[in-house]
Amino acid sequence: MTRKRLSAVRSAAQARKAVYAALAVTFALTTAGCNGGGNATNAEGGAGTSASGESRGSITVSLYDRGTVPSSEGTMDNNRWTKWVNENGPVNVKYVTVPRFESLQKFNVLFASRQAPDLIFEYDTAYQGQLYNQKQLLPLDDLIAQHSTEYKAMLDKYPALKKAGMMEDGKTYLVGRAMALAPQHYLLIRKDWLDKLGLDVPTTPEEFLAVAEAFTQQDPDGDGQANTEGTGLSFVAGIILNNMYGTGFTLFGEDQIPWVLENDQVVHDWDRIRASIAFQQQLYDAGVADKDFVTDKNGEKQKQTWISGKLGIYGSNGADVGSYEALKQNVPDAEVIAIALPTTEFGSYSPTLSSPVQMTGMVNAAAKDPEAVMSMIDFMVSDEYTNTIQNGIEGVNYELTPDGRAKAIDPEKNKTELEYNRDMSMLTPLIGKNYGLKNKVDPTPAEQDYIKIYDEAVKAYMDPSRPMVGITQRAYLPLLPQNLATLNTNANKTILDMAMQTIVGGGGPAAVDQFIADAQAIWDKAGGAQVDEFYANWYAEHKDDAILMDDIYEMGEQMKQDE
Amino acid sequence: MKFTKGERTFYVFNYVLLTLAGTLCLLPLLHLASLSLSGKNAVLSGFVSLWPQEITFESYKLLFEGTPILRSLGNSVLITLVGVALSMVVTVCAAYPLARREFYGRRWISLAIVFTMLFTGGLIPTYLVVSSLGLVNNYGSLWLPALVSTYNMMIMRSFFENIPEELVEAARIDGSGEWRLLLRIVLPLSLPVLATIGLFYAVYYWNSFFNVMIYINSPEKLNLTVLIQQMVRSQSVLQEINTMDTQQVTNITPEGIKAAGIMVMILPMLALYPLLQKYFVKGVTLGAIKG
Amino acid sequence: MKANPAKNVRLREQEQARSTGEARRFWHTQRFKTNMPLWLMFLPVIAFYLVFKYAPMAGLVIAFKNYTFYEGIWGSQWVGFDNFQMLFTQSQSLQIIRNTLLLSVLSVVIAFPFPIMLAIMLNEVRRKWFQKTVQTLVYLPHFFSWVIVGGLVVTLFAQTGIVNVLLERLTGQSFAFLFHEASWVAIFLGSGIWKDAGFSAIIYLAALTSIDPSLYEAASIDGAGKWKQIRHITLPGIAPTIVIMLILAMGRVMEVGFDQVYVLQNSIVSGISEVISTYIYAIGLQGGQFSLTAALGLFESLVAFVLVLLTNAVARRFGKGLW
Repeated sequence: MTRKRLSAVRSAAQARKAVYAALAVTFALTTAGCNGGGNATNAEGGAGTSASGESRGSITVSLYDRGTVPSSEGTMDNNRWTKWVNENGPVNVKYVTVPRFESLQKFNVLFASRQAPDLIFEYDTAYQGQLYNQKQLLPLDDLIAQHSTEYKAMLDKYPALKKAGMMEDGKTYLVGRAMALAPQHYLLIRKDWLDKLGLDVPTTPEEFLAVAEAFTQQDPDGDGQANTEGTGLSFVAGIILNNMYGTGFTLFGEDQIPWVLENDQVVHDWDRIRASIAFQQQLYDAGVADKDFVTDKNGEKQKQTWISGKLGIYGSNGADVGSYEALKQNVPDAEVIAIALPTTEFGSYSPTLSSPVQMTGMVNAAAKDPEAVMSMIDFMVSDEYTNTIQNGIEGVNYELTPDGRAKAIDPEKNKTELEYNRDMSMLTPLIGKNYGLKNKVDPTPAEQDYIKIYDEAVKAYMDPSRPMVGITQRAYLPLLPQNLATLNTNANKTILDMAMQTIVGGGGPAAVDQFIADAQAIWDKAGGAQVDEFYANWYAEHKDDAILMDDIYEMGEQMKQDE
Repeated sequence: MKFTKGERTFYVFNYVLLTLAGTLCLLPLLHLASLSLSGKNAVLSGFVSLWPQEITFESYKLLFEGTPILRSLGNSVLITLVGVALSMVVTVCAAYPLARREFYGRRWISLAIVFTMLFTGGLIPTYLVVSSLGLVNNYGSLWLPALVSTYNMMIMRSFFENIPEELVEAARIDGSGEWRLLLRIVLPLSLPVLATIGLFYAVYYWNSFFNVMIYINSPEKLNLTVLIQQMVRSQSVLQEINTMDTQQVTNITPEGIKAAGIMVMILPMLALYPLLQKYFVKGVTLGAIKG
Repeated sequence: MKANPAKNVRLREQEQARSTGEARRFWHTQRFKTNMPLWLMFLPVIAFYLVFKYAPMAGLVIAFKNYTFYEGIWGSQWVGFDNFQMLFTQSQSLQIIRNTLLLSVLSVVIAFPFPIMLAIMLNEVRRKWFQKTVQTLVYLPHFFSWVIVGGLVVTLFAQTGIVNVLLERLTGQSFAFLFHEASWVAIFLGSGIWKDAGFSAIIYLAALTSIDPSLYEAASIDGAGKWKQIRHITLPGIAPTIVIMLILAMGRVMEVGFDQVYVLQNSIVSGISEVISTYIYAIGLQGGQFSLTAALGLFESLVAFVLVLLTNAVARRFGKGLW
């Protein structure tokens, strides 16, 4: 009966909801006066579990919809897991689904029409900053201090979470999670090709070029045809080739970050860009890469070449077991290893690592019941929630192994009944025994192979003496003010295009020098000095309280110990 | 019938060119059909071009079992049928008066209407209007703001205008009112353009994607295009590394399933056109005058 | 020319109404009797345009404001022409506007005749099954999104793509079609034509049905060849439609479709391929630049409006304007 009533209320129009909320508040106020009123409210709101017997709040929470819920399971906003949350959580939650691939537009119209949900989840850090600038977010410091238990404990455990959650005004606006610091980009090489041609793993740009040439010219796959490519040059491979020279000004992806630290000062670097473009030009001229790499914007073509067994050096995004499996199916003898980036005159670097903390959640400044929202945040980081959303129900979806890991009872069943709920876990810490390839119970042979690759990558990349490039990871850089952001995007886009033209256009070192001169002129003319100054000032002011590279590696260490 | 030499050259040329054009246009369909029928590994490795490799129906099976495709297909049909009906009625109501030279203010109204084709308020103001009418999460938000496409209406108007004056005059002398004139004479004589505009509206509603995403909140009301576009786009987000969408890498819809989805989305539209072709009868208007 | 008699009628009626000195007479004129039902019919249309087109247009003011969610459309601060200044002082602004105009004008000029030619060619086909098949096939590409079509086009014209494989076999040399501005523009236009000509041809096919078949017979008996028939019967028969389509095409000049450019463009040809919509996209990625985007949109609208006014003025000379 109550359940029916509840769902009727849920589906009612906006106006009725407001009336209901008002009624609920009045009801709560009147009953708060008399003893035993708490029980009555609980009955009204459904199964309440809040220990103190306070009235059960109602909130709205955003949830990505990727169209992946099988019809037998209901819909993203109404399925066994959303029901589970409402039955076991501290508040009534109405989920507002947001299409994953138009999420910003959807949030925009919701905010503009003041219908945005109370608790908002969005990965895009630039958008988080925008909501802050637009004054749509609620400062959370007092709320956390007074009403939070679980999330507060999390902040105490990972101080970086607190740092990362703060905006310019020094208040906390974002909630997030800890993630294991792990390799994100991998430089993979065909070990079987190296062995066959009697080559060593390349450790310098010269060796890299030599290996790529050998891979292209000496028929490493032995099919008698000149159909192999030495190295990828697009997307992740391209990003890695820039990283290897110590620059974050990459030609693929959306972040062109040329700033580096020199003598504890932020400078706009051009030498590293020059060197890395010169090297890529050399690779291109040598014919060891895809001639059309420029058009391979998201690395799809490179990936296909790799999977079909015709590519020697590949830049992989994440622990991509699927591609590895497909490669092994095409070329059963293929042997893949992850290698360190070759050392250049600028030092030794690692490719992009995943970020150790990730901020994903915000509270709407217009939220009617912030305390109820906080209790939901607490619930979302509790063991009960994270465990259930990730592994399902014990005895139904999983059983515990002797060492306490979750083992799926029927992986096929979980695929339909469980996996669509992944976006409900945007506050679930991605560390510990239930996370990652390494902790998987009964890994497949391909997964076992990949765990080896992962371990190599950890050894080669997660080492502060071979750091990531730049001042800090992108997520911890301050957001540029709007006019500077526009200027920066425009100028960098033009420079990026010129860099590509230089790589493809040939012309040797002279052309590269010309490119750098032109790029500098464009940067100056656009007023790029303001951007340089912005970052320099920010660093000077915040180098103590910002999250910098050292902090990131430190957090990585801490999380490793926690595991 | 005997052709002159010039005519024969013309026909040969014509047939050859059209065959070529038709074949070129068939390529993407063949490619997608092949992808949707090929084995996962062949697709991942880029081995599939115009013929399926390792033929399997796995993609279709996964599509129909793993996604709410039937529900969204039903929604698409509903959105399209009602939308076309509504739009056709109102578009005729707009095009017909504007086609009549007697209509007061015809010129200024036309200008004011064309103006809306060029200047639009943009997403947020439009959303605020639709939302203040209480249409959000209701198919009304898809139908009402799209009742008249100015583009379609102007085309329809120009066809109405080309109906010979004699016919209209004759009807008027018979004492027909405007409604009767419209229903009995103008519309029956305009079947080709009605079929064309109807098709345009059908395609518009069938393909609506962005509006559905923005205005419809309940997942059970989403249409087929949204479902398929979500799959197609799951790839493109990978490019934005900075979103740090940790779910993304594992959530990319495999190419084969995407292709199967696109096939399911396109086939109804492909079937629709041949059905409408029968309304493209030559010389309807003239037959009417002579008769 | 055609507009004149109507004008005369109106003048005469107004004169009549006035000269009798009795306005009530006017309400009994034939013209009024005709107008009543027409206006009745037209009322919902007016309501539609006012509510869904004109009301949101008020939102254009944000082009002159610094719009934030917090302050809303009306509460946001006025900034005058700052947004426009910001847009037009970027170093690449002029180039981007030039590219947009160039690509769109080329699209209109070059692509515009294709649907007409296609429709005429289809119209000349005698075998019904052939006609229907080809007609359906050429209509097909319209339904594939640019993401898919772009992928195919890039693959076909890549340096290792099928086109180059054939070219190499014929001439012994390959050509980087996607890296040269001229060939890129050709591919851009060609793919647009390929994708939409068949769909747009439907309108002309509909227009062709109104031509009296006996005209062809008569011409044929007079010994007029195919070309002559097309020139003197077919084209004049669909001329009104062509004019309307041209004016409408002008209205779309500034919207070089984002998707098409986005999937086809690459860094090497950025000198020609960067257009307003891709530029907005790049700015939009920074997020929250509603006012800036609105300003750019307003600029696009203005240009398109001027073009439509001009085209319509020319068309009116032939009595075929939209208003």
